[in-house]
Amino acid sequence: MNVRLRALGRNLCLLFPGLVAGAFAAAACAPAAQPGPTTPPARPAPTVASAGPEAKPAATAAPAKPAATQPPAARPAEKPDLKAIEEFYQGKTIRIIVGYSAGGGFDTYARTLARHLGSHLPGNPTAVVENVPGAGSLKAANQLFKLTKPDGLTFGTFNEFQLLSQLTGQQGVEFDARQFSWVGSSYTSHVACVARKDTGLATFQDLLKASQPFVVGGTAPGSETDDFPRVLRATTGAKLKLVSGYEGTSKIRLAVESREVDGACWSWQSIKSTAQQWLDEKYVNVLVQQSREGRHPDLKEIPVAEEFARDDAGRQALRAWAAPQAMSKPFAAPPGVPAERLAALQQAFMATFKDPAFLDDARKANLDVEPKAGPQVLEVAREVLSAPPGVARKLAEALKAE
Amino acid sequence: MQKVFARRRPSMSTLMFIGFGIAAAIAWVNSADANLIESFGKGFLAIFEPRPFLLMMVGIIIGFMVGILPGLGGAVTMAIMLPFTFDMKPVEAFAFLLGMLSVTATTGDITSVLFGVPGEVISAALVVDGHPMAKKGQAGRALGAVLMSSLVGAVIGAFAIVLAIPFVRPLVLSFGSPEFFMLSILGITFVASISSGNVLKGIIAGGLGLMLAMIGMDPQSGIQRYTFGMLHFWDGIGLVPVAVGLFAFPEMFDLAVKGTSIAGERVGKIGGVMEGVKDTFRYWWLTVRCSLLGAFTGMIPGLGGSVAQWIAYAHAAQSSPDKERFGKGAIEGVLGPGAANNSKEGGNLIPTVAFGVPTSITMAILLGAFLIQGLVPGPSMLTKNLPLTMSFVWVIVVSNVITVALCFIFINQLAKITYIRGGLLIPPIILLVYVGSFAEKNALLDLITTLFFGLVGLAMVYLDWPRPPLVLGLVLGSLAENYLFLSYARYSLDFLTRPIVVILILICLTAVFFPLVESQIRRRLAPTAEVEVFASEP
Repeated sequence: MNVRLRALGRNLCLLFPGLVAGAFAAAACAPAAQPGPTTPPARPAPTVASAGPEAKPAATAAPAKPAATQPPAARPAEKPDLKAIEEFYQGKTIRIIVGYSAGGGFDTYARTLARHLGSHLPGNPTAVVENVPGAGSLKAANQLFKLTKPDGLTFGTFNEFQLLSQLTGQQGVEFDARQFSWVGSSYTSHVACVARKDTGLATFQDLLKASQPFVVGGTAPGSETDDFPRVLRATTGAKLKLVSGYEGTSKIRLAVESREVDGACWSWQSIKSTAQQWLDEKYVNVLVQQSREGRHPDLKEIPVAEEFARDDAGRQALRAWAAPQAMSKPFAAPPGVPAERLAALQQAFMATFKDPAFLDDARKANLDVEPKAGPQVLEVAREVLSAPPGVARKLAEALKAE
Repeated sequence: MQKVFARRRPSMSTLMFIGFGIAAAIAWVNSADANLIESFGKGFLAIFEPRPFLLMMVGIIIGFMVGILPGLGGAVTMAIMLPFTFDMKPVEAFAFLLGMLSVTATTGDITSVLFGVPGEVISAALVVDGHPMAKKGQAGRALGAVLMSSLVGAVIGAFAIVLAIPFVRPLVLSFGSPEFFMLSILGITFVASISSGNVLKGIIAGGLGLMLAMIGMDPQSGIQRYTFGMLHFWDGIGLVPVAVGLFAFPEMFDLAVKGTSIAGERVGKIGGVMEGVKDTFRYWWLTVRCSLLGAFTGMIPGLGGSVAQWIAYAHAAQSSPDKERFGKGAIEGVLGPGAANNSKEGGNLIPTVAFGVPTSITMAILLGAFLIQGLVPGPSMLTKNLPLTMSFVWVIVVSNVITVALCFIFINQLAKITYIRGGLLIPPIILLVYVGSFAEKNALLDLITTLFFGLVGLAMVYLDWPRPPLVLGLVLGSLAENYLFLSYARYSLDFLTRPIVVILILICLTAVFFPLVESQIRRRLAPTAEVEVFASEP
């Protein structure tokens, strides 16, 4: 017994420092495990802040500057001190935070950007990607807003539809999109609904007249596959039945083919790249589309959902819902980034999106390229959030799950 | 060998296999054509050209490391490696990625066996019986069995692709959400057979797993369940922190308390590698059945990557004449999951290639590789691009042959790790465990989750509660819930009347009640030692 106890004591002495050291070492090592880090960031701040409530007081940058100080930062006309910026970025590592796990669409944009961004910034810093998945990228948005140091070395991407979460007052939102230092956005998205041909639905008018509900597949609340049918139903009175919970649009496609659902609504870009065969074989009809910027060049004959809204509030709700699509895959830095560094980031972002090497990679990875510069993104964000309270309420009601 | 066959009773699943096999053979012969066989040869030659072969070797080396390191998974590695395939040709890119992927499944098993820490999430089932073998000084035997069964599984899984090609479309399309729901329920009924004899405790642990699966935002209405207002829990608990904590910590404590090496005793030849290789052939039909099970589980889009191993483990336990050995170092419990988690890679590829529907996270990333190569997954992969599809088959086979051959060279040295003093092993293992659980989501809170489940695991071990049912409940719980909602939303209660659903319900009922009835019969026939074991059943 005594021998056992002594053995226990001796080994526990080894074990507990091991446990504690393990936890710290893991936290310290993991960000460095990203590809190609050159110099660790010179900041003492924790790299990945815990999302627990106890971490809140640690938010040094939380009281952000008022929104009014933001726009001047975006004006490239005022000549920034290039030399100082170059000195700042030289030998540093830029971190791009992605609100989803590795391998998804947001991650692909961020990693492709990270490969080319450095060469367009003064001082040629290295860029690494860090995945902070959680809560449909809300976690990353909150982290960027509250816990990230606004030094121009960290920015990130999260779902543009999180703007609507702010607008409709969804719980868990701890950011104000108007205060982010927007770097840019990647493309303009257009949502479209397709119906399997044998449902007999050829146009949206057919759907409005239909007696049977049109069954659409969805992934989860907060995604266009769920929210567009919901808004459509609430504003146009179309008979839509949403079956939600599929693991991704690929599973919805399978469900359409096995006749579990009749169709689905998601981004036209994605429909083209993953379901081209459906379009080629006329297996489906495109019923309706919606975006902030009118009809998509491919879909000149397809009506926009707004045209079918029953009243003005409905039309405005549809418009407000679709507005964030104009800033798809946005990149934002925390509020309060020094103006000249933000301007440098914005310019580098736009220059990267014009770089032939980047475009070549983007084409291979099937990425849409239609960038908006930071100031324009801010404009869209303001437009979304300036929707009148009535419209916001209508939208919140429409988006609420039945 | 004779003895094993003589004692085996014809289990339900064996009969199912035979039926399925006959149906498959008839359908295949009807629809196979010359193109298939020609492409088969072309695919083989394609991967032996210098560049694809070299890249496959690079993939194997990367996969080897990633597999050995606990927690660090194949999915993350593939996502990071994806940009490197921009400049590759299709055959090269897939030789690189698939070579890497199929190796992680094999080498992950090694960590599970040696340290009792799951090397990959898909290797967690190997801990249950593999590690007790290592503790008994039979690490070499367990590793030999794992490697050999992995190889057999990989080959069978790869050729399952070839066999499935002619009728993959109707097969996959005949499964909808209601069928997936019933399949996950069928998986849950296996809880009883992986409870190492204590069915009541097993069912409770399984229920706990189901409860854990409910943590997070309800996917239907967005209601938060057990999240305590923390964003971190909106997506539920990760499988890595739970599995790693549950299995790794008790082992580390045990090692610390004993103050010895992992292997308590030294045994001679019986613990050797060749013995394990022989075991694979001693239990040949079990290995083959579990390989087929793995391939089939992988083929069904919707069951995910980590289910196959547990189903195979349950099957191995269920079809064994003495279930009490399981959890204490039964060789069948090593062979089953070892074979299944390699054969499922082949199965996984089928819907990914034929429909563009990924069955797991790794396959979703592989789908990205298709787009980069300008290939559209779908029927054209089975006609115009068939040689490329066939090269996938060969990559899986060849990379596994190479890995297993490499492993055999220094496996005896690897097994000697189990003779190192525990005090030296614990700190690096704990470190790797934490790195692994952190790497899944880059979240510090996951370290606390790992620690928490480590303590839960410790309590379960000391109070003699089986841990596998908890993991199985967690894995299948969210699937079952999701598909139940989908089925109900689409068909309301009518989904219960679909033919395949009815068949699956009957199978579930049989799976639950057959052992009870059987034990009654046995009790009448042989009122001796076995009564004690079954007497504890509810």
